[in-house]
Amino acid sequence: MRTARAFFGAAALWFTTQSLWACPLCAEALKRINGGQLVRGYFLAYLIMVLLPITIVSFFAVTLYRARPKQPPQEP
Amino acid sequence: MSSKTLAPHTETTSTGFPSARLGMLIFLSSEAMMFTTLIASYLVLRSSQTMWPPPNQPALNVTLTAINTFFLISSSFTFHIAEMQYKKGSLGKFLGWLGLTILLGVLFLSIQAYEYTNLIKEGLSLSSSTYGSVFFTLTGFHGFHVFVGVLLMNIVFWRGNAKNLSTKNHAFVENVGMYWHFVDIVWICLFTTLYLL
Repeated sequence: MRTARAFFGAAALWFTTQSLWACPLCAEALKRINGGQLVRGYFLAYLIMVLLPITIVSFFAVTLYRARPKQPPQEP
Repeated sequence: MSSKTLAPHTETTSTGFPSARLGMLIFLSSEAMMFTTLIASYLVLRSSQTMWPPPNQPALNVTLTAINTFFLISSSFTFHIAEMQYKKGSLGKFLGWLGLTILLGVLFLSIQAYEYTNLIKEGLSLSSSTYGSVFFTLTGFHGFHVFVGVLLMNIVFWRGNAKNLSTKNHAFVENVGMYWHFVDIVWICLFTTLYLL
């Protein structure tokens, strides 16, 4: 039973991957458009779309950490 | 104009960070994401074209926009000086510098409107091409933000003139300042992306 599940799982993954290869957004298809410039555009767009949330989260983390209320030293 | 002493604004919160400033920063973060999305769309659309700007499209006036950029950056400095005067408690000088900032903001919008008029006359519009669509969407969104900033500064000016700026409104002035500086930074990114690259 476990082997059959693994087989069907692998088959599903294989067929999904096959359909993904045909996806118009895949890198291979994009490389044929405009001499690969579109791929470069997508990469740059992904880069700034990923960089900004990281920057924002880091900024808030550092700002709030630095502004945290200072605890008075506890007496032994 | 008379001078009025303004006490410093203090607020104690569980995070140790003023809530009004935190709220403004969260709002500006969402705005930054929106502008980043627009710039990302621009990059993808631009890279899908063989030539940029596409042939037979009117050229952008880089010199005029560079001067306009200078005005907007200067307005950030004038607002900063205004804020410093406000924190010192000098209401008269604060209103003077704030008035100058408003003038620079209006000047920026006027020059942008002049540029829009010229481009539309030459055949570039929001629906004429991808180039026009991207240009007007990005600069239009930013122009709208500048317009809102000028409106907010007018409210601050009006309140200051009516001597209605108390310690309670200190956060409001700071938040308007943050918004204005943000609008300036966004414009530097847009100017570099749209006009220089």
